[in-house]
Amino acid sequence: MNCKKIKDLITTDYIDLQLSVKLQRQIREHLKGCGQCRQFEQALRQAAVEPFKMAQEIKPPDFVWERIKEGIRAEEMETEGLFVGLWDYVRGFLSRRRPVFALGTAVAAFIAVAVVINISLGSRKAVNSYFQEQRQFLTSLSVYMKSDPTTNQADLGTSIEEYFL
Amino acid sequence: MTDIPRDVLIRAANADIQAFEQVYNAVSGFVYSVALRITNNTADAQEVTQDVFLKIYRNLKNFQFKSSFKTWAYRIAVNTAINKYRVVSKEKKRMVSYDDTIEAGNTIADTSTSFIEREDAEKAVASLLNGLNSDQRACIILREIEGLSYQEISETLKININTVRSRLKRARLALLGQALERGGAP
Repeated sequence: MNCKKIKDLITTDYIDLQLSVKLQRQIREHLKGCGQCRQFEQALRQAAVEPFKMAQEIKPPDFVWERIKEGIRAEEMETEGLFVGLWDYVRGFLSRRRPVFALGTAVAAFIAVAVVINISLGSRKAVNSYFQEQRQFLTSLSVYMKSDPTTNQADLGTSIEEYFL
Repeated sequence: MTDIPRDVLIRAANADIQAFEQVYNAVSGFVYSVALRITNNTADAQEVTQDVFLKIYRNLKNFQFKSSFKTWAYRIAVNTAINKYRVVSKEKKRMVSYDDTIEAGNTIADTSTSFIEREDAEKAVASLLNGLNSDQRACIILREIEGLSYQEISETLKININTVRSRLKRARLALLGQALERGGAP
């Protein structure tokens, strides 16, 4: 490993002990023999690592918690207010708009009845015409059967049929 | 960040304000510190802290416990703080500097070193972070101050682990450059 690669590793993984034991040892060995890299490592620790060791956790002022509680209360009231408002609107709508509902129901009922009647009338027409046709056919058959055969000669049809008969 | 028992989180998710106060007490130090170090402004940090806890309260009922609460809270805090910093930077509405914050006397958790030493250390940290962009700043805070691993930073910021490496590298080289300019490092 050359010095550039060593310095790269020193800047991150070596200082933060994120390297494998083998690689960590390898860099330590290099530092023993390379003054420039050793100086770089010391300067880096002094400038970018050591100052933060003195950093302490800072507590927020007490009023921050009070503000948070106020914020929570305000949000809860807003949510409750939203539900109350929504319920009031729905209740008002239901109480004030009854004629609209009544009219709507009447129109819907009328449309439903009209559709049902239309469907039943349509199907009855088809049935009636079928029965009419059948009735006419049966009538014509009975007339034919009851009639005198001599009078029916004219009904035999073509001249060929008349010839054979 | 102190670990929070699962039952406390469940009660907080069910709008139990006392349980939520326990969550606040466990997390607020981290949230405020991150917010302050990223925004570099007391008023903004307070606003960010407030926003973060309202977001946590609102969304805790949807938290599935698939990832750790810590990572989830870190993510909300860092993202909210970065967004705030970007908006404020654009609007150029900075009012109070981080240095003033330290002078105003915030409560610092540890009492092992003297106040002056802590004050100086905090000023030094603020000054160093000020020279970094918000992404680099977030990585340095999570790594150096919060002690997160590369993997945890990657999960918190939802970025590739190599992006974590490159941001840390650039941030550290920038800090080294600052030190060399001041003549404070060899």
